[in-house]
Amino acid sequence: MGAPLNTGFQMGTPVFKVDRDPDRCIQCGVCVNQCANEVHHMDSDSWMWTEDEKCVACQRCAVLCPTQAISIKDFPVIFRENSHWGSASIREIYRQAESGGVLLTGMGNPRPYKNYFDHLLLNASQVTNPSIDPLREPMELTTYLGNKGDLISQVEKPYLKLKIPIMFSAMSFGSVSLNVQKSLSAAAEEMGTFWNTGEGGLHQDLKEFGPCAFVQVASGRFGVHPGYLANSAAIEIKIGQGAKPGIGGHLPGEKVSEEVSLTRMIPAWSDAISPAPHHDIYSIEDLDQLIETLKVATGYSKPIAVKVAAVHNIGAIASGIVRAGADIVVIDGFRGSTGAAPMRIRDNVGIPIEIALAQVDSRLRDEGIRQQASLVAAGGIKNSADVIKAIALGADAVYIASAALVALGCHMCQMCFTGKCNWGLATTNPELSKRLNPEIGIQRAKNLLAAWGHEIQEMMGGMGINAIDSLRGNRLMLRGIGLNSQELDLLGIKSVGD
Amino acid sequence: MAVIDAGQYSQEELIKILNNVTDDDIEINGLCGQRYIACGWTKPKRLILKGVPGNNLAAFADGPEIIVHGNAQEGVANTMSSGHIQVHGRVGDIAGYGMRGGELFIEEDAGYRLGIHMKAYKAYKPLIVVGGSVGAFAGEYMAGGTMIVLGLNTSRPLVGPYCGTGMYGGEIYLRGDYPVKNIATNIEKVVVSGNELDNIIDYLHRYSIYFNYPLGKILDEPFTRLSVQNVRPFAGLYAGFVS
Repeated sequence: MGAPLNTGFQMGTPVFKVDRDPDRCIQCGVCVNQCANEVHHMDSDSWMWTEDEKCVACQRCAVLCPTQAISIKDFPVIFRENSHWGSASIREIYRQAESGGVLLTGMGNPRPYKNYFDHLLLNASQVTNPSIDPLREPMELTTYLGNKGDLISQVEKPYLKLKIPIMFSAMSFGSVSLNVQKSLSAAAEEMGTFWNTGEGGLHQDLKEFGPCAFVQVASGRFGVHPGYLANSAAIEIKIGQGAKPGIGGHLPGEKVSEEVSLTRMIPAWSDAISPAPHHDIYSIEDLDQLIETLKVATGYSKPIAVKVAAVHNIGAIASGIVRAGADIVVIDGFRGSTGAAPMRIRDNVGIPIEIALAQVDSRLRDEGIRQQASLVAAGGIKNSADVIKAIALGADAVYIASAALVALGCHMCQMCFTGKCNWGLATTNPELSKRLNPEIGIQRAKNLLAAWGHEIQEMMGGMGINAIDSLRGNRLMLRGIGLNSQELDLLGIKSVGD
Repeated sequence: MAVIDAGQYSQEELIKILNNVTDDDIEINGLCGQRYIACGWTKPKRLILKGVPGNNLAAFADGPEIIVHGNAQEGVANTMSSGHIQVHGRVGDIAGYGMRGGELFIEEDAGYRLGIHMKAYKAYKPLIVVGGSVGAFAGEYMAGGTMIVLGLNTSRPLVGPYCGTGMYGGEIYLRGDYPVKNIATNIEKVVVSGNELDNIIDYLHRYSIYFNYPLGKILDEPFTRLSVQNVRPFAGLYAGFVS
């Protein structure tokens, strides 16, 4: 392959059109100051003009415009579209012909694959058993994660206690700003749950939040040292993630600021490359060895989690992970998000979390090893009903990341990889990062968890269930709608009406 | 000094015993593959190991000093932060994976995947010196630190295939002839001699002392330094897309 040469020749129109209502615009310049993509300009004579081609529709200018003068629209499509070649497909080819590059994108798989959560309906009690009012009666959401299977030896295994079965998924400092981690870590601590450092080390300002953190050990081993392992609630070996199963990670040098370099323990402004596999794990036996190494290194004091992407044969993979000694298995579905992933991988690799979860839970039960590890479902959880459905399918708890970022202000423009997040989330630029006030961020993240917690209690009460333990793997509480018989089989549920 | 005869202990028993030893100097005899010795150790304890320590010796460790009289198995110094290890023999695969600091001196050969993703940071400068040859993928994704391969008393080529693939930092020094086809194509190769060896002469000198090998014989062949100029090897690989 020859080296790609950027032709610099643009074929397409801009994707978005920035409309400014001249009757409303007061030339205050907020849009100019707020846009890190440099879409908005104001000349010395207060003439306002825009560069539509730089707009990513993050909506920062539209939201902050004091007179609501700005609206972002899809640029009127001039392609002669047909039902096979949509405008996105055409633009993708233009972009690659210009650059010779692998298309890079952010966040989770946006394609219109079937969302199984939306094809599941919950049960409610009528007449034959009473529903429970959570405003009147106690409703237990407390969840324990860890190996619960070794009752005979009477050796107490390390476990985690969650007051709500929702944790914040891995987002490294570097992929997100420190203020995001500050918001989520403090919110997790106050709500009695956990957050996850991702593969980026633990920033010194967040050391006090180590005891409520999963610290990640991934293939690049960035920021991993004995103090990091010791100052944690649990250690998560990251094998894969739903947004990019099978590939490693390249944190671009632009995002490796001096601050980021401190926690990753690599030189500033160099790429931070995580190899595709852990090169000390080429088999289940090798995984067993790394799990045991981490247990020995931390004196058997912490649960060890293993995170994998949901892929074909996930049942057998999860079985191997449990047999390798993992205390927690994290399955990340194909809608899981990322700060940066090749678009073809994000959009075409992996399987839905709902099916993977049901398969793993069934497989582990069939093999009699389900109690040896807790299951955490991740990837595409959008609301509390998804949480309930995941738990009924067999999860002990769920991870959320996109939902948490949306709570902090993410507008889902999917341009995280640029480091120019105008909402101060997916950036390490200090000027942009300070747009997220961590005090407000903590409150918003707590509010989200509290609201979901209430909704979960309401739905549980409706089913006549007063403890989340009674819902776990309780697939009789689910019915499928619009699913064929094979899908119902794979999910282990009945059809509506059955 | 505490002296432990490992021959009578299983791996789990040995780890428990080691956790309870308060002496700073420990000698373990009769090792026969017990794994995870000194994993995660943060104290500057001194270990003398006789026999064959098992996988992941001193993984995630920060500070121990270990001398192995015998061969070591896989994963020596895996993700080690600091410490000093001498192996008077050879080591298996994946030694020094993700190693951030400390020293690993190997008298004879090293297996596959030596020093993958070694990285340096400020005062942390990992060092691996191999007296013999190394297997495939040595220094793959290497991001920092120093690896030296001497090729003494070995029947294999100095380095196996894919040496330095994806490397974006650090330096590999090869002594004498090496199979050029086994070196990744983006690597800059410079023959260094005389004063240019100042960076590594201390390491070579210490190898000669630790393993009783004449320094003059080590220096009688030219050294080639492998490095990369580009710390952003994948900067041009991607095209951001507005989706």
